[in-house]
Amino acid sequence: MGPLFKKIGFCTDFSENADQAFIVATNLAVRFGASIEIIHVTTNLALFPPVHATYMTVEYDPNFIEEITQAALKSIQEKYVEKLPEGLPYEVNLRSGYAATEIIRVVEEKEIDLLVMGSHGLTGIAHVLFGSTADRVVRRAACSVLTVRFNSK
Amino acid sequence: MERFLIALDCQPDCVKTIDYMVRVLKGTQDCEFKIFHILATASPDKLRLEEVQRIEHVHAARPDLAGYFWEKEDEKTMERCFAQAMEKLVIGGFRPESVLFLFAVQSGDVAEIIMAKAAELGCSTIVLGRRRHSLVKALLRGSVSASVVKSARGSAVWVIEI
Repeated sequence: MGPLFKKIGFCTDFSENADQAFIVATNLAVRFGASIEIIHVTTNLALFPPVHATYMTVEYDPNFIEEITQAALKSIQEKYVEKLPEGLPYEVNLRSGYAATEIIRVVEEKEIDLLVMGSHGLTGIAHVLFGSTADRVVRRAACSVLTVRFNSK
Repeated sequence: MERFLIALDCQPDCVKTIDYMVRVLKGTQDCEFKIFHILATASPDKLRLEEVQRIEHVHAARPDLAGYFWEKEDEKTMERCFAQAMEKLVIGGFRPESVLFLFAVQSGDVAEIIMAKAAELGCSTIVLGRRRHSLVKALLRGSVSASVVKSARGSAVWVIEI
């Protein structure tokens, strides 16, 4: 029987809940000798035109997508990559579109065995727009899914 | 001490959920398992009299079940499933004392019953198996696991692909 997990997907929307999921995903990866696939999905502005304000307060201009991408990559580097245990293999998957759809696509493309994500991420209007990602992913992902609760302690 | 509520639907392959958790947790000792099943309700009109009387005796010991009846065959299936779960957990290195079996009847929304039981027992993680259904079937039947994920605020939820 092979290892239970070879690739563990960690989905982040940069919320506190996602940060907790990162700790769980990392611990599991170390325990099972798995690699980590860090997944973040930026909103496709053609799908949700008003949403750019939730990412950064810049005027919409032709460079906006590029700025979002760079900001997301920088956040992933600072919040997660730099905190990974030394030697833990990882890949960053930055996608654009509907969060649940893109996460499911990454799971299939990368043959992820387990997906770890926060159960409740952003709040307010962002939650209205993105908040049900976890239950959409649970319905459709081709792998097991661990949703981590928010612990405010 | 981590306390897991593992909800089993007692379909033939549901103990795969136990296999999975044994592999995840093997070697750890600070775990308690609450294995939980929800029996489908049955009309007492369709049950034999002695079966109705037997369940009424159960009601005396379990007031939370009062007014609800179930098929004896479902109960037997559940007991077989629980026995398999215990065997797998013990073979996996877990102490029998760390395992508790519980059942309820489907007196309302299944996801809500699971979450209420997890909260009552102080479980930090809810574990559920999930089968792949067609889109139409999923739309018609809904998804217990998705409902639990959406609503469980006090527990982590581990949805296992069966």
